[in-house]
Amino acid sequence: MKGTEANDRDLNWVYLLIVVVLIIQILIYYSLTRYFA
Amino acid sequence: MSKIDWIVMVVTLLVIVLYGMWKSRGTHNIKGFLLADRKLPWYHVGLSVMATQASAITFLSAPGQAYSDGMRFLQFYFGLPLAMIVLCITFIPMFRKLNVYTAYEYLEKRFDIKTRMLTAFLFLLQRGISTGIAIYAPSIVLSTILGMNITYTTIFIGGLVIIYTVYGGTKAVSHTQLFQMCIIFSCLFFSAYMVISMLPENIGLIDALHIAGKMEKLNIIDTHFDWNNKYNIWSGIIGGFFLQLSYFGTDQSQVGRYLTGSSVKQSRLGLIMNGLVKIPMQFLILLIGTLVFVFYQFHPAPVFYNKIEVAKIENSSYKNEFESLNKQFAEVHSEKTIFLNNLKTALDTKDQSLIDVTRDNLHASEKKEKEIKKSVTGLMKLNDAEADTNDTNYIFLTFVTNYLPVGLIGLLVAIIFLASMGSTASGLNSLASTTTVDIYKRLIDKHGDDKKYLAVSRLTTTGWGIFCIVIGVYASKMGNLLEAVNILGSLFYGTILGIFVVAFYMKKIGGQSVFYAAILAEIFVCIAWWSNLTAFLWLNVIGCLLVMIFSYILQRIPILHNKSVPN
Repeated sequence: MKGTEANDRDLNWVYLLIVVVLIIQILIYYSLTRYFA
Repeated sequence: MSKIDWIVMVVTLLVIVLYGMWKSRGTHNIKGFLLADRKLPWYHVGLSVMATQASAITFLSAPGQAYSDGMRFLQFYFGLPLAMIVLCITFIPMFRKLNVYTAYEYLEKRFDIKTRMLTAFLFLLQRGISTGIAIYAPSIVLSTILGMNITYTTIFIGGLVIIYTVYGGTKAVSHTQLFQMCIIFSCLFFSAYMVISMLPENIGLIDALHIAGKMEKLNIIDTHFDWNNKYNIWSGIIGGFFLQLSYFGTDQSQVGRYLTGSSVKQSRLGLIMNGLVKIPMQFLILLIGTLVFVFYQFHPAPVFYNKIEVAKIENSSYKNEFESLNKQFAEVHSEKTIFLNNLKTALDTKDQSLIDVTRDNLHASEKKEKEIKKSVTGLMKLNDAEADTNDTNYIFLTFVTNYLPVGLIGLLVAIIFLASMGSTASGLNSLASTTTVDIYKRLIDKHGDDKKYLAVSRLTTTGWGIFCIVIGVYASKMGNLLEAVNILGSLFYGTILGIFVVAFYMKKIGGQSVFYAAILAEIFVCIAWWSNLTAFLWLNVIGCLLVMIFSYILQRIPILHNKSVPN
């Protein structure tokens, strides 16, 4: 895919954000599980 | 339901459906009917994608699942954000570049017609059955409220959805879904607030979470790896990633949603929104179920939540046995209340040894309750072999109708209807798109005019609607609906995803190889499921990997070798 639309570089940081948010959520849920068990 | 609830429900339904139909007026061509003229902004795409996945099943089944099995189901969604990234980078630009109506059109351009037809067939089979189950879910609501036979309510709701979808097409679906999701989010927050406010005075949110945690309902993360454990973090991230990638990347009910975006970027932003919001939304829904569980620890809980089945056993020759079990259940329940008060004291005084003792006592009581419940369902089966002995879908509904204030009940019931209508409409719309574009337009009438294709789309929507109603009538025997849909999806999604992965990333593989590889992989997946080889989420991974491996091997067999490899 060489078209400009195919590579929205300005969206790369959003992809990174998705991964970071996922990791933070998993850590929060893990803490909840352990703390309240 | 009170009169006010009925008014709230009918007005909410009418306003939203009429708005969607008004917005979709003037749909005179197939592009408008199937793709909403590709004009929708990202938030429209995002909410539409979420509304398609969040059917009535989500709001009925998930709280019940949390009530009976805890919150571990949340892990199922951990692969979703990662799948969104892959879709944004690979799938969306590929589909948009080729200007396709359905995902399967792409497969003919890349491989050959038989691979396109095989994939479309697997999709139609799977989506047809899933949509039937989605129609059945809100029928539970109507039958519980009106006390009607579930078969009639399924037919009634299915009929309503057909009229709405045939008239509006994708445009109506998307516009209604936008409204639905706004109301759904507001109602969810309000429901959570209501459950917390109805707990006993001395029990706050933190206490409720402690109680849920000690009774193994706050088991969100399970890091222990086990092939046969349905929900742990590994099956959630890996298996869930493959399932969600396949669902969003190859299931026309979702592809059809994000192809409506006004540009590649708008479609991508819509999916990104889904990746960020989906897990917190699901967490909230499951948390409501857990809080309902805590609520019922302090209030009289029925031994079985499906009133229709309870009425059947109460009017049978097993009446006395049932009453005796009911009495035992109430005794265990009041015994549990004493333990819960002890737990509260232990938590307040931070007495760890008392906490441990009380936790063990609560587990013992829970075990006793489960045994009593097992005896009750055993009686139900003895009385009627066809009895529906799974009541998880009725738990949240019972709570809503018995305890929520007037007006809110009507709104929540309307939401369950709307959610179902949204996802069912998307399902019917995608079934019609695939039948019209991939089968009728490709095999029967290649050079028809736009009006004819529009008429065929409307006709196939009706046909699939009737098929789904028939499936819905039989769906009551499938246990927990949410799991039934996901298990069904996992049987086919892995193979379908495998075909697309080979198409995108294994450029040297031809149509002949991938076609036979897909058939072999599907047979293997069915055998693996039949023989309980592994938990269902892993079937997605197995199916996808097998298609890739078999394609690679078959490509090396000279007889099958396809000389002309496209692209």
